[in-house]
Amino acid sequence: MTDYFMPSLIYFAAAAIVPFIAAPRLRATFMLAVPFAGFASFATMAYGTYAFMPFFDFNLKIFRLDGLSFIFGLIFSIAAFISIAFAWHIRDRLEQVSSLVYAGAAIGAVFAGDLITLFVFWEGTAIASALLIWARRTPGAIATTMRYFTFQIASGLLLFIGIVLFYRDTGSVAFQHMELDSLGTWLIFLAFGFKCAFPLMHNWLQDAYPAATPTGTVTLSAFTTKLAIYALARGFAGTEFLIYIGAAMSLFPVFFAAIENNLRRVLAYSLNNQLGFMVVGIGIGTPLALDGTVAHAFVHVIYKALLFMSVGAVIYRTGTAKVSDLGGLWKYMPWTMAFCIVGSLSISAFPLFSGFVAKSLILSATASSGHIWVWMALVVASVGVLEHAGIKIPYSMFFGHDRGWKVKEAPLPMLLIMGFAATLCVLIGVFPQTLYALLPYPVEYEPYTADHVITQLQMLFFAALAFALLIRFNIYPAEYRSINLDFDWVYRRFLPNVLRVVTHYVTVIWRVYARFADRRIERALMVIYRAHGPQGALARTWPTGSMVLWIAILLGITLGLAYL
Amino acid sequence: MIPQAIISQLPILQVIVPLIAAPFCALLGGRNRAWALAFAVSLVTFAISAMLFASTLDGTVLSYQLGGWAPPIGIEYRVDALNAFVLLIVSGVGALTMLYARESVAYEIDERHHGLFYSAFVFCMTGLLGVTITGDAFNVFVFLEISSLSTYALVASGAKRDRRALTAAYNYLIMGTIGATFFVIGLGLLYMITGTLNMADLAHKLVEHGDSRTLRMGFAFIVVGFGLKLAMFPLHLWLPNAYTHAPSAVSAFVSATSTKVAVYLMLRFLFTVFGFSIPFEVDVLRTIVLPLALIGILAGSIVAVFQEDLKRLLAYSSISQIGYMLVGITLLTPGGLMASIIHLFNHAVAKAALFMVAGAYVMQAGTSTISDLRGVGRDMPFTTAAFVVGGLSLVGVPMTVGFISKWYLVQAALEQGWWPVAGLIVLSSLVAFAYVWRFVEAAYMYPTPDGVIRREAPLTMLIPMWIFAGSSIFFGLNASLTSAAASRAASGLIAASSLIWQ
Amino acid sequence: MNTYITKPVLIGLAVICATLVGADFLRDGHGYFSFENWPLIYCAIGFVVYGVLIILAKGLRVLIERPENYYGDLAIDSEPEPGMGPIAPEKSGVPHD
Repeated sequence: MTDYFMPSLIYFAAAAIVPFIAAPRLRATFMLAVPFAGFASFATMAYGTYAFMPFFDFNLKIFRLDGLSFIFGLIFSIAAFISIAFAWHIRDRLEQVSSLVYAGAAIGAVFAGDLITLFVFWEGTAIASALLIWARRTPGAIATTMRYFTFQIASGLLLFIGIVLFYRDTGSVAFQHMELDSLGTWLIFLAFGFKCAFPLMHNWLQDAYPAATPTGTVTLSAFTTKLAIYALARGFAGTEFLIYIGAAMSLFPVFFAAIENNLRRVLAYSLNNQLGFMVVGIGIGTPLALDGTVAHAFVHVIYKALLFMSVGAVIYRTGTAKVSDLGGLWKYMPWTMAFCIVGSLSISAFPLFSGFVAKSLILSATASSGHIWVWMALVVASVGVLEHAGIKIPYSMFFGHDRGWKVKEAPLPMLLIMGFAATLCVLIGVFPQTLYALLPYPVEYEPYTADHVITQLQMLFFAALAFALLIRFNIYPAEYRSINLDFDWVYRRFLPNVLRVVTHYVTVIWRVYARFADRRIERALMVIYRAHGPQGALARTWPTGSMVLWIAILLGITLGLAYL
Repeated sequence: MIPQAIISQLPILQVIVPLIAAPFCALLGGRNRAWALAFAVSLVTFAISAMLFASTLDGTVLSYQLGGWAPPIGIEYRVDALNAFVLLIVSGVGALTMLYARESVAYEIDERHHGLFYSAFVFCMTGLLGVTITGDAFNVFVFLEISSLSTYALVASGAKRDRRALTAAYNYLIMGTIGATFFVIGLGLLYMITGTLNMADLAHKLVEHGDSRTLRMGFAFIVVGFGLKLAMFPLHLWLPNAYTHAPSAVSAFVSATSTKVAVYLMLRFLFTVFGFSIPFEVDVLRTIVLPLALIGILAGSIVAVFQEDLKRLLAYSSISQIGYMLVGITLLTPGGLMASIIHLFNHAVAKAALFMVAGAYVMQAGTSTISDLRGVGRDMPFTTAAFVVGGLSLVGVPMTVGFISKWYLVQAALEQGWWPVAGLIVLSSLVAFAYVWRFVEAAYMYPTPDGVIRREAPLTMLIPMWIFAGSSIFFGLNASLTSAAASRAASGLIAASSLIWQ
Repeated sequence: MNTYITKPVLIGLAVICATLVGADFLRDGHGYFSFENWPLIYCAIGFVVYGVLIILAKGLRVLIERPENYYGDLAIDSEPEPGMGPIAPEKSGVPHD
C-alpha cells in the first residue's frame, strides 16, 4: 500500500472510468463491483492510520481506520451496493458518475483523520448529491437542487470557518472529540447539524429527497445524514444538548408524516425521525448509547433504502408516489409488497426484525441514564414510526383505496436487490449478536427477553388496533392532493415576500431621492471635471478624464495625510 | 555542470537575451519564423530564471554589477528569493503563452504584423524581467517603460478583431504614463534627499535621513504610481478594457504577469527601500490602501457577476484578486506577506489558464460573450474543464491554489484580530462562486444553439492551458514548494525593513 | 369504502390483542422506571398515543395544509414523477375510474 491510498479512491477511479464504458450492461456490472472492491480494500486491515498527505504545515491523516470508521465504512459500502444495484436499469451517466462520487466522498469523509480532509469530502458529498437531484431535470427539481445545494454549501462554509477558528484556538486540525466551548466548535457543531437535519435546519431533507430520481433518492437516503451522524458521534459524543435536539427531532416529524400525501416525503420525515433516535444516543454518549446509535445507523440504512426502493418500484410502474393516487397494488406487485412490509416491520421495531435489536439499545441507554422525559418522547416517537412508516407506507400503496391500477410486478433486478435488503433486515433481527460484534464498543446486551418482546408487541398491536378502528370510523386523515407548510415556508415564501416589499419601498424612496441628488452630483462632478479635465473634452475621452480625476483625488488624500 | 562563469552572468543574461532577440523577431517577420525565435528565446529565459531560482533557494543573494561599476554609482542587478520567484513566474508564463500564442495569434492578428507582434511581446517580457531583476531604482523606470510601451502596442494589436482595442490601448497609455510619471516624480524626490538611485543604498540613506515632508511626498507619489500600475481600486479603470480587447495571448500573458510585477515593485519599495522607517508609511497603507483594497475585493467581484463578456468578467475578477494581495501587504505581518506572495503565484497560474480558455473560445466559437457560449461545455470539453478548474481556484475551493492563498490570508488576518477583513474575504469567495457559476451554468446546462458548430481547441493551446490548470491543482495539493519560496521571500523582505516583529 | 379493514381483519387483530393482554402476566417486571411495571401499560401507550397522534396531526393539517401548486414552478409537488427506465409507459398501468 502506498502512503496515499484510501478506499474512496477506488470509487473516484471508477467514476472516472464509467463514462467511457459504452455498453450499458457492462457499465452497470462494472459499477456493481466497485463497492466490493472498496470494502475489500480495508476489510482486513488492522486498525490504525495509514495514509498521510503533507498539506501546508499539516500532515493530513487521510485514512484512519478504527472501530467507528470501520463500521461506517461497512455501512456505506453496503448502501453503495444496494443503491447501485437498484439503479441497474439507469443509463444516465451523470447519475451513475455522481452516485459513485457521492459514495466515495462519503466513505472518504468517514475515514478522514483530520478536519481538513473531512471538509474536502464534506463538500464532495454536497456537490455529488446535488447532481442526483438535478438529474431529474424538471424545472421544479432544478429549483429544489438550488435550495438543497445552498443548504449543503452553508453547512460546508460553517464547517470551514469553524475549522479555521478551531485551528487558531488549539493549533490542531485533528478530528477528535470536541467540547462546545468556543465559537469554532460551535460552528463545526452547526455544520454537522445542518447535514443532520436538526429541527429548523431540516427542510432541505423533505424538500429534496422527493425531488430526486427514484433511484437517486435511494442513494441520497444512505449517505449525507449518516455521515453527519458519524461526524457527531466522533466529535460531540456525550454533549448533553444533543439529547434534547434528538428528542425534538424524533417527535415532530411524526405529525407531519401522518398527513403528508407524497410517500417519498413521508419517508423523508421518517428519516428525520430516525435520525432523532441516533442523535439522542450520541448525546447520552455512554458506550451502550453510542453502540445503539451505530447499530441503528447500520440497520436504518438498510431498511430505509428498502422502503425507498419499494416506493421507487411503485413509481417505476405507476409514475406516482402520492397516497391520493395509489392503492390496491398488492394483487399486481406482491413481491414488492412483501419486501416493503419487511422494511416496515423492521423500521417499526417488530421483534425478529432489524429495527428491534438496534432501537432497544438506544432506549435502554436513555432509560438507564435516567432521562425519563426523553425516554417517553422516544416511546411516543416509536408509535409514530409505526404509524407513518410501518402502516401508512405499505397500506396506502398496496391496500387502502383500490384505484384500479393494473400494473406489472417490478422488474427482476429490482426485486432481487429488494429481496437482498429484506433478507439482511431479517437476518440481523434474528441474529443480533452478529451485528453487536461489529460495534465499536464491546456490548453485553440481549434484546430478546420475554419482558421486552411482550411489551413491544403489546404496544405495536394495540397501536395497530387503534389504526384499524380509526379507519373503520373514518377518523384517519383523508387522502387528497395537498402539501403541508413546514419551516421552509419562512425562506420560500415569507422572506422573499418581505424582501419584495422592502425592495419596492426602497426603490420608490430611492427614485424620489435620486431625482434631486442625481443632478446635484452630476453638476458637482462636471465642475470638477471642467476645472481639471482636458479642454474641449469629448464624451469619448471622458473615461480617461475620470480616471485621471481618480488619480488626482487619491494622490491628494495621500498627500493630505502627510500634513496631518 | 554549468560553468561558473556562466552562472555568474545569469542575471544579465536574463534580460539581455530577450532584449537582443526582440528586434530580430521584427526582422524575421512572416510565417512562424518570428514565433519560433520568440518561443526559443522564451524557453531560454525560462531556463535562466529556473537556474536563478535554484541558486537563490538557499537564501543567497546574487549581485551583478553592470560593466563592472560598483554600486551605488553603477547599476546593480540583485536577485534574492523574492524576485527570483517573480522572475520564474514571468518567464514561465511567458514561455507557455508563447506556445499558446502560435494558433491564437495566427487567428487574431494579420500575418504581416506577426513579426512586429512577437517583437513587442518579447520586449514586453524583457521589460517585466528587467523591472524585476534590477536593483537600481531608475533602471526600474526604464524597464517599466519598455514593458508598458510594448504592452500598449500589444493591446492595440487586438484592433483587427475589435476596434475598441484602440481606445482601450489609448486609455491604458494615458494611465500607464501617468503612473510611470508619478513614479519618476517620487523617485526624483527621493534622489533629492539621498543623492542615490541604488535601492540598497537608498534604503540605507533613508533611514539615516529620518522623517521629512519631501520623503512623504515621494512616498505618496510612488505608492499612487504603483497603485495605477497594479490596478488598485479605483485606479483600475484602464484594466477591464485593455484585457477585454487585447488579443487573447496578450490578455493571458499580461494579466498573469504585469500586475504581478507591479505588486512585486510595491513590495520591493515598501519594504526594501522605504522599510517603514517613518510611521507615515504605515498610516498610508492602513488608512488608504487597506480600505481601497477591501472595496476593490468586493466591488470587483460584484461587478464581475454582471458582466456579459467572459474576458471582461475575468478582468474584473483580477481587480478583486489584486485586492487580496494588497490586503496581505497591509497586514504588515510575515503571514500576510507570505499570503500576498503566494497569491501572486497562484493567481498568475489560475488567471493565465482562464484567459487561455477565453482565447480558445474566441478562436473556436468566434466570441467570448457568455450568452453565446451556451452549451460550449459539450463542444469543447477539455477547454471548458480547464475553466472549471481555474474558476474553482478563483473561488478558493480546497485542493486548488486559490484555497492555499486564501487560507494563509484569512489566518494572517485573524492573527491580527481583523475579523471583518477575514469575513469579507470569505464573503467575496461566495461572490466569486457566483460569477464562476454563471459561466459554468451557461456552458453546461444549456443546449448548444442551433446551427453553431464549435470544435475543441488545438493541442498547442490545450497543453499550456492544462499545464496552468494542472499546476493550480498540483500546487493546491502540494503547497510546500510555493509556500517555502513565499515564506523565504517574506522573511527576506521583513529582514530588510525596519518593522519590528514580535 | 374500507376494502381491506374488514370485520375478519378486525376480529383477528382483537384476538391478537387479547392474547397479548393475557401475556402481560408473563412479564417479569424488569423495567427501568416503576410505571413500566403497571399492568397493561404498554397496551395503553400503544393505543392512546396512536389515537392522540392522529387527532393532533389532523388538527395540524387544518393549520398548514395548502393546495399542491402552492410553491408553483419552484417545487416538484405538481410535477409528474419521473418515468424510469427503458420500459415504455403504455406497458405500465393507468388508473381507470
